Amino acid sequence: MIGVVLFGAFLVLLMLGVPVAFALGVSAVCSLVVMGGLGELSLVPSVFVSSVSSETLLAIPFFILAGVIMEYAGISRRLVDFAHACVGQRKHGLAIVVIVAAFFFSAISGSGPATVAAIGSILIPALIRQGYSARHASSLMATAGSMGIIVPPSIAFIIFAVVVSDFSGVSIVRLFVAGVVPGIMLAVALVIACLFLPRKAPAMATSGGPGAAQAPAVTGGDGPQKESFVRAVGKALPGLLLPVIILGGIYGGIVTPTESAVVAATYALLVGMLFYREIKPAQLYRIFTTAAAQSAVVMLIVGAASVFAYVVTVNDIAAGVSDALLGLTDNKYLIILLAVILLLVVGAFIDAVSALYLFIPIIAPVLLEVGVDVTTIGVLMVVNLALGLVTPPVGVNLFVAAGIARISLVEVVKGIRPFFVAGLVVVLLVSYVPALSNWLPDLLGF
Amino acid sequence: VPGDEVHTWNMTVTTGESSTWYQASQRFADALERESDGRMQLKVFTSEQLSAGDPAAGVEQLMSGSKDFSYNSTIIYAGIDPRFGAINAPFLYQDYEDADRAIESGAREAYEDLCAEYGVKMLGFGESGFRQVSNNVRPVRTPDDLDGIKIRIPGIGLFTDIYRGMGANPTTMNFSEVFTSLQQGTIEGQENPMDVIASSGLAEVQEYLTVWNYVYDPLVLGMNQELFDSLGEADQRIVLDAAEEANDFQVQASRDLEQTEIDRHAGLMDVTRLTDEQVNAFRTAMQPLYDEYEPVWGETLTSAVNPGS
Amino acid sequence: MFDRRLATVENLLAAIPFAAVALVAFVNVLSRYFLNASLAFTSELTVNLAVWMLMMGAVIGLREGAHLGFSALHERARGAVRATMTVLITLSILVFLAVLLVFGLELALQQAERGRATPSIGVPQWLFTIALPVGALLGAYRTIQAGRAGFRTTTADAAISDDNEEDGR
Ligand code: NA
Ligand code: NA
Repeated sequence: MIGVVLFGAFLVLLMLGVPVAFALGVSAVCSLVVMGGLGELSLVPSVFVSSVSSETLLAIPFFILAGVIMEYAGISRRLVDFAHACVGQRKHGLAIVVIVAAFFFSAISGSGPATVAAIGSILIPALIRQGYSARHASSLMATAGSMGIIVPPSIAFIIFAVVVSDFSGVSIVRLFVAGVVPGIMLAVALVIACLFLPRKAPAMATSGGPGAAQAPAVTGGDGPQKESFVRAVGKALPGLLLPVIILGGIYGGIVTPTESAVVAATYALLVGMLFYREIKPAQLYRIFTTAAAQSAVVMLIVGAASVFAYVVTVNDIAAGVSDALLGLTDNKYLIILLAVILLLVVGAFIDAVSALYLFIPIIAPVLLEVGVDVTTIGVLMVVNLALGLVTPPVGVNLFVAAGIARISLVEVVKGIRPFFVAGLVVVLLVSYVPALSNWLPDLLGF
Repeated sequence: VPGDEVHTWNMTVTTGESSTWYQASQRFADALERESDGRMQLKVFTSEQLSAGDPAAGVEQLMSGSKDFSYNSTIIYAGIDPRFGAINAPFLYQDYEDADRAIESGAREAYEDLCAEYGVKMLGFGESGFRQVSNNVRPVRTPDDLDGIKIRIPGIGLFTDIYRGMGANPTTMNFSEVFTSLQQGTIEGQENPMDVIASSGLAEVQEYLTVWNYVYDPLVLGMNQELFDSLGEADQRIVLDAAEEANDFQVQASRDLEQTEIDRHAGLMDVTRLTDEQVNAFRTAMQPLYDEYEPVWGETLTSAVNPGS
Repeated sequence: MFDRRLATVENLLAAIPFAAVALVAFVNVLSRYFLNASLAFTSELTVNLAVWMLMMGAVIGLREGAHLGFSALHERARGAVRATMTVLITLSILVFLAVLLVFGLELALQQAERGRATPSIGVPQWLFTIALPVGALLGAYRTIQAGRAGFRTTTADAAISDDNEEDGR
């Protein structure tokens, strides 16, 4: 009964166009009032505040801050130049540059849209100039950006570790390591998809998208600088050191994941101010405001989703759904398929953070019950929801890419098919082959 | 008519389903249901699930009535009023006999009164046990042995001061990250009751364990006071009796488990048991801390928790 | 004029706690490794300041229409349907903010009365909890503003954007 109120209200509010965080919060508020009157609402702030004031989750704003600083510091642009010097010369070279650069950036940034925003503003116009259609340029960039939450560090894995701890313990570090192989697999799958992309002669490129082709410059609007490999490496080195600092720091036991994000942000700031000299002290106000607003969008969802999760917990709703699922079948492979389909549908409509809070309590116990290990469950959910970043109607990466290419969402979606198929193949592989997630963390002893 | 009312209550514990806290809470639930002929239904939630994992917020919920019952350490209550920390004073009790004597001869009453100030009806003490320390640097036998060790502690001023006082390098961290951090060397040591050390498998990543009984850690079985007052006398009796049964079971189970685990860990780690003399050296080292904290705990509590002789 | 000043205040209330949290956390890492003295107490400060950052950041999000959602139906709707949807969206946001305002204030008052303080350095907890009602109040103002603008124009997206409002002045 309460379950119907909760999920029913959430669906209605979501369809109406209420932002997800508020749809979660209001549906939880309605359910609480049905459960115990207005007095029941006094626990809302207590749950809301406790959920967001967590040392582990503090990694989220810090990784977002690091991403924002990297853009201001010019690190992103130099990473693109570096990727171009590596692979840019061959056929479809620039498309592959997108994937390689997105991979590098993902090893620094914890979020998908941040990855798209940081390097898409350089690479989408460049792709269009090279003769790719605007829809393919932007949808490739959007899908490559999904690696942001698969390749460590990852906001999604942090949240998974926090929420799943009610059912089974797994450390953030292990999950981070587990994301490496699937991240590489997605990169390879996207490269393969690119080889089949149609492309006009560069000269005709101007028909790409209105305005996009001649886009005069956000940072580096000229596209990747063609320069010698050595020079590109030299310039990109401070940026290339960032993943080493973050991942080396965490895996070497020098810092916790949260601390690594702080160190990364500080390092990027120092590089931007002292080495590249692209960040002026006056810009700090804008950097922190931007990062605070971006972080708040995520953390507000965390807070509201926790209130929602409270209602789910108190009423045993998740357990009911889980039992129903297990009642349907106890075939491991069918259950996995059901989970994958469910997450693809859910991922189409809501963001990854909300989806994790809503569906871990339902999916994790069922998968654990049929014998899937918790690391694979984490990778399965995160890779699935990463694909959700590029499935309409709500795909954050698509929004950002469309914004950069200055085309409509519908137009971007028309180009998504080859990349979606590539992503789907990876989703199915990681869902059914636990070794892909477990091999590396087991090898390194996490 | 009181006695006919049907109640659905919730309760939280900080630990997981395998803990003695949870097992005792289930006993409490069973006793309530049995004695009330099914009128009292209690649902127990693990891992502070009703306050997003935050025990301090959980205690606040109990105080304001958003929650009905909980097992929470006095260390958590001390975050709301530091007087609750009196019984957690370092090296206060040598053994459980000391602790039991102090509780019977006044500590329990003092804590009941203190809880009542905050709208909590204390239904007796459970027990998380004595807290022990483990690390990867060296065996801890004297206060100097902790020097420079990076150790994870609960984020409470008292614990910071205890370890600072011995020259250690205390830090706070989510417990979920402790195992990995010990493994990777982000931290070198931690302190917890034996139950936690054992159930988290810390022996895999820790070399030295010192059994020094340095902090006694009791659990308040708390009920929202207004809820208690709203019950008829007969129902109050049912609740009080069920609570006593649960607490007795929990304390015994916790002590049995502790002994078993200490014995088992002797084969897994380098275990040091401090002698009375060695403990006295630590107690002497803590003197400045007692001087600082006694005014904080207040005279009533400080004398109530005294083990006497 | 008022709106722009208010926006500056909102930005500062989000940016300053964020910068403080980042600085404190970084100094903590440094001191642990170079001075071998961890500032254990700092974590309670950073974790709690995050609540201010979150609430004020959320206000900026409301001001700039940055909160994620499924807006396809709303964008496609026209006329009275759209107007009704706009009103309902605005009301829904206001309901959640009202709960945070009223019950957040209640919690802050209870904490002040009970004297709950951060466990290591003893900063009164209500100083952090008060971010809820303050943020909710400012957020409600921004929501009503955006709702009215969305009511007037046909493209809600453009109307929510703060930049447009600043251009108009
Ligand atoms: Na990443
Ligand atoms: Na989607």
